[in-house]
Amino acid sequence: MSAEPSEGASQDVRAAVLEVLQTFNKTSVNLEDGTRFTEDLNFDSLLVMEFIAALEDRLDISVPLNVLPDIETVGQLVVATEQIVREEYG
Amino acid sequence: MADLFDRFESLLARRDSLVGDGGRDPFQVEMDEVLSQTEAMIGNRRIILAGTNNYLGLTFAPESLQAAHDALDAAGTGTTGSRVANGTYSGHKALEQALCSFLGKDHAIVFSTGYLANLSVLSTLVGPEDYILMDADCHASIYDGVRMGDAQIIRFKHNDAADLDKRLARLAKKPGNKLIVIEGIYSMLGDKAPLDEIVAVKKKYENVYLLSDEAHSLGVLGRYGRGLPEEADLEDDVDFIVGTFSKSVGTVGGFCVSSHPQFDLLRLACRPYIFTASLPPSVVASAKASLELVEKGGALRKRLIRNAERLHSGLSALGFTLGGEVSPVVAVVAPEVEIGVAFWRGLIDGGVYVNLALPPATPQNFTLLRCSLCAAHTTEQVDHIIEVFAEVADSLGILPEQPKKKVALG
Repeated sequence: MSAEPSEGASQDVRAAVLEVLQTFNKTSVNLEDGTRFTEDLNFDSLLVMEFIAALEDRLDISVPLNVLPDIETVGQLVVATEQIVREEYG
Repeated sequence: MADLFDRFESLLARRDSLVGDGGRDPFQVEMDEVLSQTEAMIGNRRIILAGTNNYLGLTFAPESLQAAHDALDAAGTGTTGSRVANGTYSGHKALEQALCSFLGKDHAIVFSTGYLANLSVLSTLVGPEDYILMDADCHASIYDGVRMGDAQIIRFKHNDAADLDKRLARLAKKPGNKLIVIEGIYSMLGDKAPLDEIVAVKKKYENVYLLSDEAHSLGVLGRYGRGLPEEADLEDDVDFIVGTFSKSVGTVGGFCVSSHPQFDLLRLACRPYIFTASLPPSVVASAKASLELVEKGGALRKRLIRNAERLHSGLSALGFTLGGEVSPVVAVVAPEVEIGVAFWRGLIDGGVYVNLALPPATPQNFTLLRCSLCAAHTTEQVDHIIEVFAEVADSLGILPEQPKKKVALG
């Protein structure tokens, strides 16, 4: 992961989120910014836990539980993850 | 205009789908008469209690009953005040002193329930710059406590010290304190924390503290019943022990002990301590009397473990999938939620009460028929529980035709 907060780094985070999420996506729903975890992807709390753990491993970050209640959509998760990556490596 | 209670519709729909047929509701059981530590009347039926967390059977211990009666007569039915106002009696201080000597720590605070103990400590001990690293399978009171506080909350994989290590490594350069939160015995499956591995990881990093919730292991593990830290011989490495009086101790209330020199400062800051009425004198007195029985309870622990081994091996031999290792919690995994409800009802009809535990409150989204054993269960009672499990499984057609054979793997 680049230490420079650049357009490129942002693209990397988005790609990583989508890549990991696709491995947990058991539906045929396309992953877009507006896709909702609960309603569209049928994520339950256990799946959220497993998905977040995989995302943490992929990007070598910690995603605190505190940020999860505010995240309903893929786009919101991308923004929150970018923020964490910036704080961690920026 | 939406009604205030419309937001509970999904809960209602789920309940109706499970128990809306008018059959007995596993979550609204009424014990019409409690006969002993191990038996109660539900309606006209005599039921063996195998889901009460009354591990040592101390709810009717004569010493504890006498202490409660004496305190009731001497100090009244309640304190009508919180610990920081008029609700601290000499009994509360004596109980805290007894906890210090029993658990070998310098300081103890008694709370009004175990739930409040976790809310108090976890919401207060760590601040906005700090981190909580909690086992993913921790109890709801731990989840609620950390959510009430300001610390960053990081979960690690259940009982996975390597995963904890990885997460602590990521935080190593952050200045805040880190508090690891685990349980001695996890309530749903009865599995123990790998305390030695967790302590080893803790010691690799700076500013890391360890809190263990011994709710289900106090009185159960260790020669003197001091829980997992005693059994693992790591008592000095656990900075904070939280516990409850509502399981092995047989009454109600919670506590936290620690040897941190500033520990008592929590009394000034814990809102669930400051703004709750304190425990009634009779409860405090019976808790103190029962703690002595816990410490002297080696024979009870032996009987408890013998009962646990008998139930575990009996159910295992019938081919049931069990949730964990041999422990006083024996969790039978049901294949699906509907079968869980039908199974639970069959057990009641056969005279056995266990807990039905459903997702999402369960690890791995299991549907569990969760048994907890008591030192006071007789061998006949344990055998009866096993027989009823076999009968109900047979009537529901859910056991493999051939009982599972034990195969040695090496």
